[in-house]
Amino acid sequence: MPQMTADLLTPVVAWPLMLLAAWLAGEWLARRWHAPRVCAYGVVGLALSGLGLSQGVAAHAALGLLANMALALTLFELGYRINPRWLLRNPWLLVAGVAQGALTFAAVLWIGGQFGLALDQRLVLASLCVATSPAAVMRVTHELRSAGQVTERLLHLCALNCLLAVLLFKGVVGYWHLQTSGDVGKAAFNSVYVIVLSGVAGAALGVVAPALNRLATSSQSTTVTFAMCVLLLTGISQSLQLSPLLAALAFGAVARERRIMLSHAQRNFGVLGDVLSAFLFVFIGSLLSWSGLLGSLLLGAAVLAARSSVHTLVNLGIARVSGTTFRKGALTGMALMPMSAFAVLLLEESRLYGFALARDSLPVIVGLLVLLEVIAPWVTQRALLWAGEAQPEDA
Amino acid sequence: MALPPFAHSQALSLGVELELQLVNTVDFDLTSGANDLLELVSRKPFPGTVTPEMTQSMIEIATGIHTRHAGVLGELQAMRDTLVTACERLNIDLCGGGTHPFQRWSDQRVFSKPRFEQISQLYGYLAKQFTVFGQHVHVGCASGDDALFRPALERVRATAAEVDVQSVAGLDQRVAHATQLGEQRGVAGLDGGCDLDHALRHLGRDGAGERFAREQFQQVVGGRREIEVHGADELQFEFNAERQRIRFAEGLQRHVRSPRGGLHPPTAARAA
Repeated sequence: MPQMTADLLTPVVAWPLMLLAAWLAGEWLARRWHAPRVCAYGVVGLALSGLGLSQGVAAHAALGLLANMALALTLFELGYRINPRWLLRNPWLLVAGVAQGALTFAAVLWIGGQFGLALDQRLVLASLCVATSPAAVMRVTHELRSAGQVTERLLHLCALNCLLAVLLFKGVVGYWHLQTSGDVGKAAFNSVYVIVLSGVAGAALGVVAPALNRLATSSQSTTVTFAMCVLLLTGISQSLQLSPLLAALAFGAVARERRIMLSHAQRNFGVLGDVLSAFLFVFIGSLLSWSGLLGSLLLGAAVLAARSSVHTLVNLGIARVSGTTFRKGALTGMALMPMSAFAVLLLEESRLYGFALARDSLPVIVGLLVLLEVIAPWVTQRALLWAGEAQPEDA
Repeated sequence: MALPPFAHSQALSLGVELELQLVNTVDFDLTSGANDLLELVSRKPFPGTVTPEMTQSMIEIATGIHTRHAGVLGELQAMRDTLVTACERLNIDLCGGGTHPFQRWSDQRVFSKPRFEQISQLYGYLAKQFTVFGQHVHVGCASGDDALFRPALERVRATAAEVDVQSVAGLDQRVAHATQLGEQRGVAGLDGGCDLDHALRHLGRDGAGERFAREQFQQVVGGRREIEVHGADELQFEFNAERQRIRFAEGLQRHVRSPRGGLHPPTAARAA
């Protein structure tokens, strides 16, 4: 019997089982407590890690690719939702994005110094903290079917934060390569090359995809076409050591300009998106080790407070001049809290490309990631509800 | 319940109300943006009136009272420009007219205002389902009579025109074997109807014509009533299936249209 149990608890069985458990937990949480489902997914992933069932999961290339694909689908849709003309007509949003990125970077860099972290780890931490996780944001807004200024600003600032985070992080990686190996070429490859080519790859597919879509015969086929393209782009990006996340964001932004319409029913890629989202959050949770969790909680709480304060104050400051109310500006800042999924995958992707510091950085920020994984989606949901941009019964 | 006093308006003055759609810039589906848009436009004077409507994806604009077309048009254009500028700051698009082709009514949110919430409670989901975006053009009338009389006479004219043909068709048969029915009375009714039609064309310009039309209106109504009474009386005497059949056939024979259109004048014929 014990042998049978051990045989059953292989990753081939354990993962689908945990995914099912995560799904059911998410449905129960939504029905009983009206909380976002993704909170439950993250908790199940953490449980998977705590039970020791996720050992070696990081080494599973297939799981990592699947997680990247899941996040790439979300980033594609986020890029699709972004209206660059709005950013030009209302430049205060661009100002807010850059300001909160710069201030967050500076604040976290300083806090890391107060906790005695090495400079390179502080740089990694600071660049990651600029990001806002699109996975949690898109799932929560989709569940609530929210609409309004807080929702619009949340999505646009999330995209800006992700873009800035990738730029800063790749810059840190390039700097690290320069410091450790002195190889300028390697430093440039891991920073400039990755950023530029990722954007070009995504944009190129955004130009080509409409031609592929003409072969589709129904609206459902449109969704499948774009999903397949995102999966292809993720595979190509990973093979060429590009950033699949940046490529997917560029793909979505260019596809929008080509005016390929995704209907309301196809948002979040329907059932495929639901399954992959559950997997993504479980995967992220499973990567977070419990060892060192307690020790990093204090750092995590301090960084969380700094991040939230910067987001709230910056958006409060530009609220009135950018056309909304102070209340909605503050709630926008509050809603920008999620971070974990994007940060973890960005770190994981760089580790695969030879960024050794990534392995050492994860335990430092595990406390922050756990806090954000569990509570940040709920905070985003509350912000949207308090803004009146979702019906209470939708929560 | 007594009606309230009719609000006097300058004759033929104009005002326009227009309901607009608020759509997103992604797939142009309806979006809940009324609160944000109204708050933004309230910061500066608005050239007209803008108010919320039943759901958060609708707004209504209204012009003032104008006497010239150019004034109405100018005010509508100013309101449009102001709203478009505001919408550009909020990542919303404006769309007008009719209904939205693919909106999901269950996603619409009722605007938080007591009147709309009351309607929503009264009609449930229907309040969201019947989301239409109409335009009303209000034309001023000097008095309640003007406001009521015109539509009634229009309807009478239309009705009289139909009854003219029917009355002639029925009259043809009835006169043939209804000796009590005065042919002059029926013709007078028809003549009154024709005169009424002519009079109503000039109603807007001719007070005397209005009085004449009023008289003719009464005559036609009276004539119709008398015709139908006699017809009913006649039918009661004709309650015999065989005689009905023969009568119907004779009526068909007599109803031959002239090459020039219209009907032959009724001819006297003996009932079977």
